[in-house]
Amino acid sequence: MLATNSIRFWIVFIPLIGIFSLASWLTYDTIFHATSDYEFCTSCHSHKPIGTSYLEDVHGGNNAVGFRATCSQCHIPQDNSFNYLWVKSLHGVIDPTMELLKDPHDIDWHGHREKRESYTYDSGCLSCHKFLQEKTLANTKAFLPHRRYFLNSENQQDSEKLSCVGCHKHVGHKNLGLHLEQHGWKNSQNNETSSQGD
Amino acid sequence: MRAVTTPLRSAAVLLFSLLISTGVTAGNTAQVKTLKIDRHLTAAGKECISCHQKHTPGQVADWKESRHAHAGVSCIDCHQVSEDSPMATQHESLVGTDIFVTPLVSPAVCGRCHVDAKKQFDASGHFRSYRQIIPKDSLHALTQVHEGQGIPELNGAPNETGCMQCHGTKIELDKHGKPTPETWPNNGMGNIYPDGSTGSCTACHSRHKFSIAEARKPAACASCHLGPDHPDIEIYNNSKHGHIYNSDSQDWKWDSPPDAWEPGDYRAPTCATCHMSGIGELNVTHNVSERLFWNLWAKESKVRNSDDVMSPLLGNGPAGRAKMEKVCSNCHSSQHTKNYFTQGDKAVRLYNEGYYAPATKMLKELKEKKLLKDNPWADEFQITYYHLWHHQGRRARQGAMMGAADYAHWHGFFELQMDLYKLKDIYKKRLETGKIEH
Repeated sequence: MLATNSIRFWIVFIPLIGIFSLASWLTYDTIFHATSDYEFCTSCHSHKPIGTSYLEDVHGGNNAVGFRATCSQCHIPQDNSFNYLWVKSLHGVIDPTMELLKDPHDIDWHGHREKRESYTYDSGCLSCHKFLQEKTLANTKAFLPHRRYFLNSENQQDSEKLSCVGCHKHVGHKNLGLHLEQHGWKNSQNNETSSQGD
Repeated sequence: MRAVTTPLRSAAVLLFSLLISTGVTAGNTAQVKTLKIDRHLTAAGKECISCHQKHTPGQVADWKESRHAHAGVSCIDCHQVSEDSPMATQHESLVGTDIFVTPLVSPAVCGRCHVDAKKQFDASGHFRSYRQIIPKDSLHALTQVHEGQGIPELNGAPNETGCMQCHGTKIELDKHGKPTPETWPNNGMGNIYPDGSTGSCTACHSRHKFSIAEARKPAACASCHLGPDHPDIEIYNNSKHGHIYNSDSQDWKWDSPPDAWEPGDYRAPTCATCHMSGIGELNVTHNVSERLFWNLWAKESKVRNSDDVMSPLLGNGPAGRAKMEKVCSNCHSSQHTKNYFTQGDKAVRLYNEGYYAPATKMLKELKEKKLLKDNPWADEFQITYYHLWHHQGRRARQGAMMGAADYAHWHGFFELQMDLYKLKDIYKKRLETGKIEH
């Protein structure tokens, strides 16, 4: 009798675990995707120029094939799931809080561009640009810096390492400096990022 | 018979002269009608080349000789900027396109590919070339008030045609994003570009050929390191290294790859060989301070001991000396090298102790007793003191450390002793009379 009850319990419980897991995965996956793209991220006022400059860029859909990289593909690390979840959660808490507490124009976007290497992740770039190493080693123009990036990255100290956006300063957001100016973020001083092509 | 051969002969002569003239013009871009290059360049990139080949053929001819051309790096790769750059301009043929260009190509641009070269340069004494003179009020007074005679619209000339051309400046833009005539053109080593980066790669690798061979020759350094205050090219020519270079360098190999330019490619070192090149165990570096022991240009020579790129003592003296000895060891015995540096160090110490110290002691005392003129350039004591350290003192030290007997002696210590006696004489008179002589 006892054994029959126990079996009945497990027959019901095991599928329930499965259904719960599936439902929670579906929910989180939907949430993650829904909060990772242009439409969600640029709904905050502070991110308007970030969005308009993105739409002008190849990565924002301004290309012949209709491809678009999502915000999170570049700005959340793609190296492992825990890191992904951690950084996304941090942004999920900090970004909306600051949006509410701060005047958006107090955000020093021009200054933040200088720190882009800290919030743009190579793992994101490389998860789409999977064959970058092979392609750039066969391209005379791109060969030199990309060989330096790939071949030595394991033997180098952090200060020696290169990152994608360290060199590709404008990638993802075309003419961001102009878009920021147009949306009311005045650039008080010239800096390296606002001045160069990539 | 004659009637037949003459026209034939004339035709042959004509054909021959045609061949000669074709031979002469071959390879001269200026006379080729269209330089058609594909090399996976973009349409816009190709347009730069074909149009500039007509309007500024010298630039394209230079580029054609460069390694950039081999690699498919063309005008637009270095000169294009984004629209939001303060340097963004468009000449007539670009208006209406989304292509923006600038004549200013900063070290940050070169550093996009030449990553390590830029990092090493940014950690070198050359980085300081302009930045170190920004706070020097006495220098600005010299060029603007004295040399410029205080004439407002003209007193920038001595700096713009002099200092700036070697030291560089902060390049300013007009409201159209074009560089101002007060700050550009110049190839000064320490330029601060509108993008914030510092340096001028073209100071040594002149545009648009950017040749490694050129930068390895003493002439690349000589356009700044010359003259009464640091006659380094004269010192080099005076040295045995220079003697061999000047008599025997026509067939040396100048374009070996970095780190692989070794004795055998040359019979004697140039400036670059000792101060920068990968030779023997050493790797190539764009940090010219890395192999130095002394500072040989300051008023007093001290051993280098600073990590601060803005410090005149940037570098690590003992480590620098060890590296330089490794350079020497490619051609010289350890005994030769050791004795050589013993000779040079003795001369530097003699300058410090025998000339700088007593001269500075007198200067300080006269200053305390208000026995110096306000205008240093009309004061015999201060002029002589300046010559003592800035001219003859540097010549003695740099001549001694780089093997130039004439500069160590006749242009150096010989003049130093006369300077010192003159200073002592003026000092004595001023103290005795309590007045500055007229």
